[in-house]
Amino acid sequence: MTGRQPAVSVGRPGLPARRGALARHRGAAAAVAAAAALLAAGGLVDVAQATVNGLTAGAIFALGAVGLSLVYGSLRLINFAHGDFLTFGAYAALLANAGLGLPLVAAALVALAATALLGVGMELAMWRPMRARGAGALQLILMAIGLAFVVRYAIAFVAGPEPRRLGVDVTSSYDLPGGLRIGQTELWVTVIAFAVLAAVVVLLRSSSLGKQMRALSDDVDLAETTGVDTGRVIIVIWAFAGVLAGLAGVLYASALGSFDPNVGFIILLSLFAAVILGGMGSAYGALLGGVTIGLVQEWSTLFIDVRWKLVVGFAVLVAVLTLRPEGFFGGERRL
Amino acid sequence: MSMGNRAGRTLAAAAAVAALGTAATGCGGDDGGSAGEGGGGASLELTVGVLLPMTGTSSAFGPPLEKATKMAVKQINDAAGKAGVDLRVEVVTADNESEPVASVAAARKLVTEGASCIVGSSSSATTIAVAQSVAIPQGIPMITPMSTAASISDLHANGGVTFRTIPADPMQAEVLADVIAERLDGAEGKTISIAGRDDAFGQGLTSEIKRNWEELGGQATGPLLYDPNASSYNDVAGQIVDGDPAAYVIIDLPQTYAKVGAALLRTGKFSADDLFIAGGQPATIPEDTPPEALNGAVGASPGFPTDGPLVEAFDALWDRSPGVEQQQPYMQNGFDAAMLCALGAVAAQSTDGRAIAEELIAPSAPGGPEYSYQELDQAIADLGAGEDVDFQGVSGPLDLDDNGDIQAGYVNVYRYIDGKLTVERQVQAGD
Repeated sequence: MTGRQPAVSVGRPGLPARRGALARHRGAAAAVAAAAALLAAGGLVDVAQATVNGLTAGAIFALGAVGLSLVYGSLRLINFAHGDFLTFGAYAALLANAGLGLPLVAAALVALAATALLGVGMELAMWRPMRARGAGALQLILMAIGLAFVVRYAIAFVAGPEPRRLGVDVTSSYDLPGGLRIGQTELWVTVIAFAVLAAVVVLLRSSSLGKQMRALSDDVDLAETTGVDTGRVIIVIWAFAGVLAGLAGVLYASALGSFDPNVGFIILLSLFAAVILGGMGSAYGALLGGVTIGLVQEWSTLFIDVRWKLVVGFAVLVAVLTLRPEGFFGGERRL
Repeated sequence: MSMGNRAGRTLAAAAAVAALGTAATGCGGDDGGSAGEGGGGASLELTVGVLLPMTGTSSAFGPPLEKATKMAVKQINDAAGKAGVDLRVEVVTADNESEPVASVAAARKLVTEGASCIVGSSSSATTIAVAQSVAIPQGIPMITPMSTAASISDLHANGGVTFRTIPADPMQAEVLADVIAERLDGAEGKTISIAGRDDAFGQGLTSEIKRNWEELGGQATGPLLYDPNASSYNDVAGQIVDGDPAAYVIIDLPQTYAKVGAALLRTGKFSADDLFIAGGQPATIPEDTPPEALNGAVGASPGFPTDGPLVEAFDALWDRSPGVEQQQPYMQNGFDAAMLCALGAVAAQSTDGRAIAEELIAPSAPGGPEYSYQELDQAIADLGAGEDVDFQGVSGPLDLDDNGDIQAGYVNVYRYIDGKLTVERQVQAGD
């Protein structure tokens, strides 16, 4: 959608910086206006409650979006099967938990490993051979869509189409100060998700592997010439994306309480929105984009019918992109 | 289900398609000739297509509906033999996945397999989709045993092919508003919170209930309509419980309510004892729904007679027929819908869809001797001889009106007690 423009920022160093500052001012003004409107519409408690709800949803979106963005950045592959990776994670946890009798935490870890294996397996079985044959973007997209259906219906075939649930308490909740509430499981989900997101940031920033992943995601050719072992890093990216998708799936299924084989597909659009909002291919951008989409969707319910919250999320996406086509972290931040 | 059985059915369906093909070319000249006053001469090979929600939101109702329609067809074939009328009825089924788009595809498949009368679809959204995309354009009568949306009544004006064997929403809504008023000691000055899924079922019932409640003198917030595929329901739950309403009305299907109900409990303000629901719900609280979210809730659903010799006979028939054992709502309506398909074909002396549609109302409308499925052979014989009958269904007297709707029916008032749906009483509604 939004082309990356590293060349622009290299060639004309002054311009993007000014543009960035301008956008930042505009962004800050918009944020202040939005906050005022929110408070006027909902009152403090309602806004705070919507924020709590939005953080839970946003953390899950962020977890799902980071992997999607890294895969896009390094392989130029729009992985339509990513939502079904979330579903795969949720069902793997269900199988390990209810089927094999593992405690939920252990079952979740099994699910993460299984989803990582799925990601790596598909790389070795499908994507690498296709790239070697010089497959075009359209072919890859069609394969990804096909893979999405295969994963989803394979899950439905094995586990059945009826709704299932993980063995978590979805009905208890905690009272927070100021009359706010958060579900017991949702609190855990939010805390775990943000802790993992923080770890992801540290990993991408500080570890050598993280830097290589980001380098590859930013510019494959440049990374290759500077000596990054791209084949190996691509495998790591798939494993990383799989682990995060599996975790997002387990957490989402836990927070929602009831899920069926469509669970991941339903939030795939929100994940795409997060990736685009953050800047295609940027891991940090996807993270921030996910949280933003979650918050905006929940805040919108203070103004507009709850049934339109998904649409509002996308309207904001369009609005932000018209102001800043490269997304939060696209464009000059690439260097 | 053996391979031989399936292959046989495919062959039979192919034969039916071929038969239908010749019938269609034969009757190019148009309608007058099909009256068949002389009675019983023509051979009728009718294929009834059944849209079953085997997967998706309404999947609890698929298997019982399949069994009920197959039971009905067996009764019809036996009765036709007894009456000496040359009528053979075949059933073809397709999974509508509880979704509108899949329902249309499933209905097309049924028509391709030779069906000229359709029993279905499940939720109102699926029925409206099938009506608009298949039944109306192709002139195939469809009789829904499950869809209650008021808007379906209006579809009948387009081609006269839509019918139902289930009382429409206005009837349930009226009864439910009365029940709420009764439990709250009057509606005057009481505010209830109304919410529902954003589809034909939720929109139709929530607005009807609100209208009825306000007519009783009460106030209502909502209807709050929500996306059945939302990624979270805390916002919905928060708005439903906002303002401490005296009661909650939530119109939903089990699969979505599992998520909404959990979110309602997390608000800490919700008790299912104050919850009112509507529509057919599963006989026991589904495994993925927190029991506290539904136990104690009172609901109104399209009902059917619960005692009397006809009910006992039907129950006995159910118990000795193959298929699932657990009874579920709508199966009686499905049984009756399949019956009407066959009676319409006999009355029309044709298996052509449009011809059946024209004769679907008369066999159940008042006038002529009353027959239940137990006297089906006599009903078929009379209809074959060109006489009018008043067929009595196991779901009620049927008595279809000019919109293909049931004029008078039963509404069950039920409650979830200890996880089980228990019918507390039955109200006769309509005019």
